[in-house]
Amino acid sequence: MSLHRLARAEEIPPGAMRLFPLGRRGIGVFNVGGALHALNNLCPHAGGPLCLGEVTGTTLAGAAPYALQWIRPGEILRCPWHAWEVDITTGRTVTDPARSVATYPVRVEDGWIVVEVED
Amino acid sequence: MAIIEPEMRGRNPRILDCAVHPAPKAGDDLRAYMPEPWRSRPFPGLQRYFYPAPNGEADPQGATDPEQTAQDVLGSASAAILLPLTRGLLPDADLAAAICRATNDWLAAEWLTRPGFYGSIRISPADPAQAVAEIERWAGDPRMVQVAVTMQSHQPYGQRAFAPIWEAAARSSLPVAVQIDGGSGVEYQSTPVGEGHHYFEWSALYPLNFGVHLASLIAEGVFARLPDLQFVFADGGLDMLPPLQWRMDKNWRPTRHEIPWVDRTPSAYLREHVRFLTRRREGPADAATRGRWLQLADAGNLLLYGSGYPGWDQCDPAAATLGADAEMSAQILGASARAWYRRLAV
Amino acid sequence: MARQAEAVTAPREVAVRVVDADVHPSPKSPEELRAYLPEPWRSRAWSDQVFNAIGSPIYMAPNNAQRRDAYAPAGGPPASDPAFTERQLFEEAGVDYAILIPLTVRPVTNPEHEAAVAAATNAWMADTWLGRYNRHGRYRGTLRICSSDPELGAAEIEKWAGHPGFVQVMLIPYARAPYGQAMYRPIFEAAARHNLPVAIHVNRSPGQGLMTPVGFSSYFFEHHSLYPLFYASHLTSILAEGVFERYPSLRVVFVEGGFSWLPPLLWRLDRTWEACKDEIPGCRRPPSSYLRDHIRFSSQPIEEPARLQDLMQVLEWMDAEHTLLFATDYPHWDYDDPGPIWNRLPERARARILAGNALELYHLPATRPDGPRGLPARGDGAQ
Repeated sequence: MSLHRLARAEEIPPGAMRLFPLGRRGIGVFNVGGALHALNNLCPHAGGPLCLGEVTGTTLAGAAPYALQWIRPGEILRCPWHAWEVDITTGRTVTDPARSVATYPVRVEDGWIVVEVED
Repeated sequence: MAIIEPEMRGRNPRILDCAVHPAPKAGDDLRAYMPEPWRSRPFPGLQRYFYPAPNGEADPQGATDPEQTAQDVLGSASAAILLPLTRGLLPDADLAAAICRATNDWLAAEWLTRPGFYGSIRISPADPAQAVAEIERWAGDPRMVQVAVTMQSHQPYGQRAFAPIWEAAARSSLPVAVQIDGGSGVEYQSTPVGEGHHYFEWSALYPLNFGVHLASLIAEGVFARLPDLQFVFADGGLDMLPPLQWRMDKNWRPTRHEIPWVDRTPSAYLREHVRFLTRRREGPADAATRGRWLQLADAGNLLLYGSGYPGWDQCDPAAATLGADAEMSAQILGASARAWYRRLAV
Repeated sequence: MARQAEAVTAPREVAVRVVDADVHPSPKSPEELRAYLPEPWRSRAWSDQVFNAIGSPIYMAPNNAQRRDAYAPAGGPPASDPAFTERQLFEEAGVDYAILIPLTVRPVTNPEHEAAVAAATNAWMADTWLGRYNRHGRYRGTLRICSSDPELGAAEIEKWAGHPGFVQVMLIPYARAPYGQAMYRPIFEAAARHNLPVAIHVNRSPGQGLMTPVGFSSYFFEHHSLYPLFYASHLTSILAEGVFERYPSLRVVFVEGGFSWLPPLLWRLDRTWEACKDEIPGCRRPPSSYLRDHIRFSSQPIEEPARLQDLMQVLEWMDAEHTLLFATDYPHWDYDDPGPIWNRLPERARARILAGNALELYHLPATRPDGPRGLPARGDGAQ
């Protein structure tokens, strides 16, 4: 296991993502409402560069037929290839929670974003 | 003109025939069951301008003699579900509803008096209010075991205008059979890219339109909202289901957020909500390949035997189960249908 | 010395492993294509929709139908920047040769206009992706034609038939009549005479062309799941009307319409033919017997059944080793990588699907110049 000091915390403000050249495909660090999440840049579906996808919300069915609720804005990542939805906060895909993207412990130490990666 | 294989002759109490097509002896016989002003209105007959079937007979047509039909069909099966045609997709919704009512009254009076015959409540979805009323008119009659609609439609059946009809069917434990009833009314072209020139294209391709209705019923959340709703595709199509279900499952993952009421993979709705009847010209012709195909298509759960009597390509029990092992054969020929038709106690 | 000199001038050739049967180059802007439009069409006011390779918002695919990582840093639509496209297609995906299909010719009401847009597209392709972007020789192109007026369509085929870059002709499945019917003979006749396969590939316009026999679907989910209905209708018509008997050298390629429906459709057609063959004398043999000589399918978007063995079974049933062409659909959202799924196949089938079938169909060389972009890499010739 190794620790990587990636960037100053202010470089990834809420709503932002930065991709760092760690591992084979890179690791994306997302700031979701002040909380950091580090995801492998590899979609568990077909290997797309997941972290380059759109950060968005998603929908839930409402009580009435055809009613939509817009939920979790800023917490859902849509893969840039086949548009699978991934929950940034857990790494799980929305439609198949058994399939998830690898996540890494990430924290701020002395104003630096630090991610912990298995060697 | 039953085409039962010799070894299948003799009444088999386990066989249930889910598709026998009765018809009035003459098209105008139906008028006796219609009040005025409908009785005097012009409407399409049983014979239509249509691609003739290969043996030269008009298609669609039906069995006109209850006694003969009982001998032919109930000689091998313990019960048969009668599925008469109406007169297709008509422009006047009131006339279409009147023809459906008359068809139901005729069927009840002239056919369902025989033990072993069960009926379908024909409705015209063009006017959902009249369709619901017709379902409710028959819901108390134990001889009626399903609702039936034309495959032909101006909108896929999942769309919201139809929802009250399916609610009424589900409420009364009546599966909805979808059956081709073409060549007489205001239907659209038979393929999405225009009309084929021959019966060959028409008869091979029109049943594939089950997929449009099925995708619609799933996408619009009809099955999700009505856990008791059941659909039966009477012209078959199980052969074309696996590729469709794979496409739907794949497409659902990126588009779930557009249709979030679809809260599981589309194929997960199939066993609870959908059945296909057997058709003779589906699947591989050799038994070994056919056995693998039946397994792949989940035929043991999704396929119900329907002879299609008296059509030119009716399917006998041997043809319907070619390649199936004993357990799957029993499911196809009757066990699955008994579990499926909740109002049928045979 | 002589050998060394030769090595310096002629790059080393490497064996072709992957041919991509479906890649969609785009003009950088509508203006780029408009410049190729013949008059009087060029001077008329057209919506940019006419030149838009990205797609109709009716039944719009996820991610605006694009791989979101395919937008080049220099700007422009995906697959409009040749260097960036080479990087993603050749270097990252490992494609050796690509069959280009520009989606810039939508069905429009006026066939003269559609023919003009097709002519502009072909002239633009000849200058760019088959011209100055193709120094490496790794692209082949698809002729766009007007299909609603087959005489116009055939004339466009004649115009380009000698051009080495164009290796097939494309038709749009959203047609007014199925493609087996006699009105289309000029197109198939011209294509067969020039040994050009005819590809059928989706390219949408709003309107009645999108309608199914039981009405319009509501969602992309449905429309896309039902592509096979459109494709199967054309295939059935082509077989029924005896098109392959009339044009024995003709090959038809069904691109991006799925393939798992082929075995059940052919079973259905064979068994119906047994009963109905008197009605369709043009179809002299069981429909499935035309498959290997005349019909090809592209693999993308690959079906993903829950049980992978179901897919393997379908590949066996459809004789994929001889009928399936690998495709990525780059740069579109449902891109397929030439990845692990094919490694499950026996080596011979895998090699033919990934490359061999397309090499034969499009008469491509079995090798290409070495180097990631087909040009001599630094140090080549000094082995």
